[in-house]
Amino acid sequence: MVGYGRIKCKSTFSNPFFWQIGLKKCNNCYFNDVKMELRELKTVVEKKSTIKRILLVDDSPIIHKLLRRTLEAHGYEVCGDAKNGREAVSMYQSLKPDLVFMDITMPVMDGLEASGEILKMDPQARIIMLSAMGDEQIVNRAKELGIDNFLKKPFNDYKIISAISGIV
Amino acid sequence: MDIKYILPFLEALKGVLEQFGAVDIRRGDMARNDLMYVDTDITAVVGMVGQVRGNIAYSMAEDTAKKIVSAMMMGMPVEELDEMGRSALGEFSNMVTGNASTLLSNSGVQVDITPPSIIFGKDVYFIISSVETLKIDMETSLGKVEVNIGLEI
Repeated sequence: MVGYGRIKCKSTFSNPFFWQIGLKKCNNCYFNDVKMELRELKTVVEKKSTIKRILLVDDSPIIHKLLRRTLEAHGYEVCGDAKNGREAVSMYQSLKPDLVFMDITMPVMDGLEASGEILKMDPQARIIMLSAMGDEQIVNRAKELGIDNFLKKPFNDYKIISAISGIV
Repeated sequence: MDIKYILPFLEALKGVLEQFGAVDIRRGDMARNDLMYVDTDITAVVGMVGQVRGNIAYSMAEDTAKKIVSAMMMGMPVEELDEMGRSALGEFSNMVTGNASTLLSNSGVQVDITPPSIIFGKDVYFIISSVETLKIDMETSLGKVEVNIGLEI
């Protein structure tokens, strides 16, 4: 495969920009390898598309608003908004979302405890932590629980969408 | 107060504001006070517990607060600080203090933070604990943010 490829990137915050990629012919690159990569990519995209409905858990209304805007702009459905961990556990049971965005510091029940309860109910639950707190102890506790990813606030569209794409 | 407890807050504030598009962020005046006293329009206070205890207050003029909230909301015009605006300011102080607590933990100081409180009104004294407070002005393109750090060390 030889030639040039051009990728147009659209951003909510700035004008579109382009990446141009030059592809050189290399000795170890065979058409079959390319086909294989495309097949793998297709599988990844198909698996990604299983994430459609997302539950948001945060005690701050502004975070719900900003996350909802980002997710809906990228074609995801926000199926519920929970204000604390206790609400998150009960909404998870009733809504069965494909993914949860979970804050840590919240009243009534914190995000780590809520994630533990959700994963006990459904070990296949997919949870991304989104917190201003990001010290090693907390990140390790989240990992031990089986959290899929840990994002630090502030966030932007790129961080959020990449994290969802990373869950396969 | 040891500088190692101060710098994380200033670095975190700079980092968070830069992510919201603020530029020209630099340290301005600094003062030591016996009590935490603020004389600006709006103050967001976050408590800190753990190996270091105390309070951090971020205070600013109303116009600066509106600009910060607008920047957090991707440039949406902010005419007044309604419930969403107050939530944004609370989240802003939470992000700065949370990021600072991560920097502190990297230097071996484990802390946790409490949910933020937003206070509207000038001439406010915080008589929470009788600790020495450092007031540091941070000048930014969105306006001046006073960082008041009162820690029991």
